[in-house]
Amino acid sequence: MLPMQAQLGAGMLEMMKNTPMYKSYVAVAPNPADFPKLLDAMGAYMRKPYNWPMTSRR
Amino acid sequence: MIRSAMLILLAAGAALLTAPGPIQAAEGTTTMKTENASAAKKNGHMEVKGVNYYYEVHGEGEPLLLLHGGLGSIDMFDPLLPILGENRQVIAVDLQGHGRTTLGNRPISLIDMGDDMAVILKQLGYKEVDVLAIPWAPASDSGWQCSIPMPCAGWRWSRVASPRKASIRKCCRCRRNWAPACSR
Repeated sequence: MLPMQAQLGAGMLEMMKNTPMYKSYVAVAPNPADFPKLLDAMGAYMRKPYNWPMTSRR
Repeated sequence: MIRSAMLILLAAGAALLTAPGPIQAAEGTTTMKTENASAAKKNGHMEVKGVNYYYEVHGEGEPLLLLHGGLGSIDMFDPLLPILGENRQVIAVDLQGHGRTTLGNRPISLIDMGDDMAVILKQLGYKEVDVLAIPWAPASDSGWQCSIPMPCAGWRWSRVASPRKASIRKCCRCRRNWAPACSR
């Protein structure tokens, strides 16, 4: 699962086009052409390691 | 490969899409969204640190902040909003780069978005809220719990019963006081 998540990026645009995520995005997004950028940003987020208990400042 | 990648995305973020109702909502046309947006008591945009957040406020009652999953949007909650709004005032926000909210130039970070939620809630005049959040991978269930409390200690989290079977795998409840002395 983690390697799959790490692949998320603009390269997945074509295979995403039939998904509810893509369709709902382009229906309302301020700039629908930004979807690949969102995929890149989400990919970068998912590739970044987190240690949540350590990160928490509670 | 494609299918498994999609499944992971679904499992990771858009958990609601696995329920029968939300599937229709997500695949529906803009008609439904427009209906819901116009059903909102209040909606609008708020700029926080370079991201122009879109929010909607529904219903009356104790405030509940509603946060969607990765690659989702407020519209994921279309079937749920009327139900939640019966007893609660629901504040739903399209998160960074999602739905009607701009991506901006910042990296996506749950911690930063948690801070932004604090700004939005304060700006909208809420002193304490409950939070219902869909887990984001890879932070998974703990992600929001750890990130939303960031702006200030004093959040209290506990689990509450899931209102809709397994479609929302975990509901997180938290309250905080927006004390003026609260600082990072």
